[in-house]
Amino acid sequence: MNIQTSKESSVMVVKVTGRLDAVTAPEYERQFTLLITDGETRFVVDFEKLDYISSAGLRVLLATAKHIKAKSGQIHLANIGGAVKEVFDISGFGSIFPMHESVASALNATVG
Amino acid sequence: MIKIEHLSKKFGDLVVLRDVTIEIKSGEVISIIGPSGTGKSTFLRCINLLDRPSGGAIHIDGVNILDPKADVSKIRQKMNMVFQSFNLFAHLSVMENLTIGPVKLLGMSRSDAERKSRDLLKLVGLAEKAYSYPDELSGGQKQRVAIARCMAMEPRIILFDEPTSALDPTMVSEVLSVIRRLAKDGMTMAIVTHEMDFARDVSNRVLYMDEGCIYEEGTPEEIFERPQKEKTRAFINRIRSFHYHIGTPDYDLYGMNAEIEMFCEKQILPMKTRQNVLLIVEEMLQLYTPWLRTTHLDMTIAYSEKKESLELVFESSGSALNLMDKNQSPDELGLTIIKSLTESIDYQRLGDKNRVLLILKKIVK
Amino acid sequence: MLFIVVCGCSKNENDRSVVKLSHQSISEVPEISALNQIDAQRISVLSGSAGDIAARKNFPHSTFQVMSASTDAALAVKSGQADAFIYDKSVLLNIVAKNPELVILEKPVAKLEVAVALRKENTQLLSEINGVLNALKKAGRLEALKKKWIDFPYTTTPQLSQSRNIQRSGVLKLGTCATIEPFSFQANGIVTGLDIEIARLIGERLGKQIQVIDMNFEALIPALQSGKIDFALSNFNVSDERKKLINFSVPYIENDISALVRKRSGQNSVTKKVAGQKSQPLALASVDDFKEKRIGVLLGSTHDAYANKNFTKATILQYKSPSDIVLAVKSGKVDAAIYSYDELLVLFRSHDDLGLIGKSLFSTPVAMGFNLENSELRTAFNKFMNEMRQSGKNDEMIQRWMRNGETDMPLIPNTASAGSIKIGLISDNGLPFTVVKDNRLVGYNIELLERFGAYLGKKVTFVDLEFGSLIAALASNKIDMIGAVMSVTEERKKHVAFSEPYYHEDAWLFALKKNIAGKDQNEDGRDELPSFITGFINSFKSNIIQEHRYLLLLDGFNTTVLISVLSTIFGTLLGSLVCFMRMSKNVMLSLPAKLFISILRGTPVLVFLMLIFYVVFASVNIDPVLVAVIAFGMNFAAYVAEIFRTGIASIDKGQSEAGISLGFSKVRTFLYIILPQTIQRILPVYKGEFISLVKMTSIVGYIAVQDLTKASDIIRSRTFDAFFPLIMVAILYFIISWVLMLSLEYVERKTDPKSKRKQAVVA
Repeated sequence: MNIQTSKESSVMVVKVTGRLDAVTAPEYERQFTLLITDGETRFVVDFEKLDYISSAGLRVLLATAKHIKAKSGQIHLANIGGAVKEVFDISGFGSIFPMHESVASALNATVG
Repeated sequence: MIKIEHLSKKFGDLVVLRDVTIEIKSGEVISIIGPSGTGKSTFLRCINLLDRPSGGAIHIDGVNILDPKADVSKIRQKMNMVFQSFNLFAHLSVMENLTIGPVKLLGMSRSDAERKSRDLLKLVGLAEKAYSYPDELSGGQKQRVAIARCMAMEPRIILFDEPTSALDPTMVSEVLSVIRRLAKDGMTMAIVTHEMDFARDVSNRVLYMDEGCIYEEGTPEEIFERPQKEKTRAFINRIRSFHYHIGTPDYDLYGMNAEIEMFCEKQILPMKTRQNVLLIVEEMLQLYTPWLRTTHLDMTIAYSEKKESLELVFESSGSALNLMDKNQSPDELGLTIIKSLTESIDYQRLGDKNRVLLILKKIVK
Repeated sequence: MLFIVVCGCSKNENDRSVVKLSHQSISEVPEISALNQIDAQRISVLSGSAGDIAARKNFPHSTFQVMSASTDAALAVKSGQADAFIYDKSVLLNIVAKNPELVILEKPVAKLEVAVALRKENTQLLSEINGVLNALKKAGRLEALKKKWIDFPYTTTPQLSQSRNIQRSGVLKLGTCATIEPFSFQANGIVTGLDIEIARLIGERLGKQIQVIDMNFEALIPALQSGKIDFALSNFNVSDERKKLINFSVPYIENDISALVRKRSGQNSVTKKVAGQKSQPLALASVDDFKEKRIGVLLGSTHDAYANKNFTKATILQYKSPSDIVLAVKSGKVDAAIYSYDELLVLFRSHDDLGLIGKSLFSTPVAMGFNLENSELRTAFNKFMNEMRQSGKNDEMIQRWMRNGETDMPLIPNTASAGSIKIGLISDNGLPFTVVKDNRLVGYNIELLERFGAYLGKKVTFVDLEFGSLIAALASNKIDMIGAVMSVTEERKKHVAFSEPYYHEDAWLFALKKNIAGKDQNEDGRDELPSFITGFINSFKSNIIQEHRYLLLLDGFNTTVLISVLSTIFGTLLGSLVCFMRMSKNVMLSLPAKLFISILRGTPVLVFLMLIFYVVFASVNIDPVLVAVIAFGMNFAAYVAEIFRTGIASIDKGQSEAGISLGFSKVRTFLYIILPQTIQRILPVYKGEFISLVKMTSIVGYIAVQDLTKASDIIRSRTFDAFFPLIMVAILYFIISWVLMLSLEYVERKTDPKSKRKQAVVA
């Protein structure tokens, strides 16, 4: 799993590639914690290159989202498709997070 | 066409074939399967006398070829063999490999032989390689040439001794498709193979060899779906399923994943199925992780082509534990995912074992 | 030039290394101007020749270099690797005619008879030939022939006399080794010489055609014995050894066996040596050179007296013992020293850097010394000595100690019942007289004295003294007699009563070899550069052009090629058969094949060749070239069989399985599938074996086939050129190998399927 970050006018765009499973989930959490500690509050997570997600991945996603909310931040998800989308649908996560078709629209939706 | 009675073969004191009796009729395609070392190849090689039988009789079109007076060479011209290691004549070009037999043995003129060979090469898809040399070809190409070489002799039956065992998986299909074509064209064939799907697809009859004889024989459905005898069943099961043992909570997820992927590939399962299998396995293991300190988990993935269904069995020993039951499992998320991907979840307590059987949902094409 | 000198000295106390690499130019080697200087030097001889036998008999202390051709032996002397070549004078005359730096010593070493050799059983032919020879002798023909060929060196080869046109019924085969001028040699394309003329005369008189067969000298006797030739004339010296194997006719000529040595260079030239030597060598050649030099002598000896009397201008240094004298010479404390001949010979065996100078200075009788008052003992000794001489024991002892150089004392029983006798001597007098070996005294004197003691029945006690004190000890009765080697002089007679002399001693000057005069240095250096090219041209002319010698080479070339090619073909075919047999499962076939292979590969080709020719085809009249083809072919076959077998075995089994299952019979599978691939694989090794075969054929001279190597031998025996003919021949052999290699490579390319394709693609 690979995490690439870029700043788009005060919004942190996080690109996740590979798998988000029991092995890689801790790393995801760790990276996000670093970013939050750095002071980032607004996030767009780009799942375009994510091939696979399991319950472990969903859990860390939830955990980091709560963390961000606690800091009065925002998190939007973009480019969820394929198998990952199915898992989101099955688990009902599709209704918890704001999901967008593209990074651009996610950025637009980011308030403030 | 071929009648084999009580064929036996000994190598010194080692009895490889005990008592083989079988009849192969014209136009039949016979697959011979079985564990390694049970004499499948030896059997085939006895038919064309590459190995001399120790006992029994082989009649080809009524002629007992074990008779010292029999003109074996002549008989062999009509009964060719395709080898595991191709055995193309290294010093001759592809064209020469194909024409040497017809010209020198069948008395064909060189121009006729070359014409015919070109057609055969077209058939196997290697027309452009006519003047290449064997050491310039890939394994799959070599084997296709070998098959063409046999066909050039216009045989009545072709014997295949594990034709794809020495091939890279990527080249197996090109060879199998040639053989399939031959079967469609009505060539009598006896094939020793480990490619089960193929054997199932292409043969009229399947022989399962074990214990030095034909242990069980029948139609492909009979052998692959409803093996009657114990050993046959064990064999069929074994080759159709994947086993994995998880002994500690520090199991190697990725290592296991790789093996599962390989199994899926062998069964030629679609990508979606593979992904689902991996997800289910991961989720199941996540559920079991807290218990893995005190118990082991045996996982079996079995695929039935006919039913097109994939079964996963998880067995653990210890006190009664049903993680599928919401009450006993704290993890909603994992269970939800598993449930959504499976058709049925079945828990059984067998003796001191907990057994969970999952059947994957069929993929909608 | 660098010479590798092989020192044959085995009795080497100083443990000098046997093979020395030394910058030894001509000036370092000894000068020989008289026969008696030859002993203890290096003599080249021809194996088994009369010269060999005579040399060993007369110069037992020398080291011998055995050569196989007179040209090589002469060359050895010329280049300083040997000091003398002992051989037939007539042959030597021809050598000196062409080599002005060599000379024949006047006095012959021995005289020997030359006769015709025949097989023992052929008494009929023997008496016929004897008849002819006797008639020729009576008519003075033999004398005339001797004058023509032998007595005077000729510049152009004499012509064979015209043979008369007479009735001839039958053929007599003559065997000869045509490398011995003027007896039998090649000139102007034919074999000629004294022996040939005599053979022709014999043929004329007996009404038979003579067929001349040229072969190696060592092969002549076997050829006679196996009936391949009827008679042989090849400067055959009559010897008892040979008489055991063959019969000799009456001699047709008597030969001198003489010694060929290097000419002495100019006198009184002190040559300055080039770098590498510490001291300037002195060119000590004759006694005159010793003015103002230092000479070492044994204190109080006759040499001492002589030196003082005769070398008045020189510094005489007196030493207490012989070893001191030797040390002085070696360390340069003296320039030369005087000592006795017999002892010097022994010395030189272990000190090969010492040599004799000039001639014997004087000879003195040697006798035992007795107290003037003790006439009884003296008389007893004289009597004893007489008995020793009469019984021949003395001669035997002299033979053993002096000539043969033995060092073992025989056990002499002594009752020792009549008291004892004290005999004074010098324990390091030196062999052969007295020396300490294994902690006891040995030597001629010791044996003589012990026998004397036994004769008297007295126990012998030896008292070791210095030379100078011997007389004094005698006079004071410390010793009963002097048993040291003492020369009888007038002076001494005053103090010592001498017995009858038991021996005679020669006194000689000796020095370090490098100080003994040799060739003038400057000769070598001056002409070096320009002479190389002219030398080359001369060599070319004499070796190739003169007497149409290139025809010889061409002939030899053809023979070599013929034998090589035929042997290869025969060998390959036979080898295939043997290979087939070897690979058969039938023991009856594989066992003989295995045997064939191991015998042929384990026997040296030369031995095998001679076995086939002289044993298997003993009484069969068969062309030796055919025999060569058979022998080489069989040898080659053994190797080919194995090459094939390993080649076939290296072909993957699947290839033949595929062939068989296609319907080919075993034979056809082999022919079409296995064989082509085998040939491809073995061609490189086969090529190598083939080239070896070509070079192996150079030994056919032993069965009388004139090939390229023999041609070079023949040329060399005329021109005495060492290098040119050899290099020439080497080049020719190389050409043969190279051409044949090219043709095999052509075959290789043709059979490689890939190349066919490459050509097709290119086209």
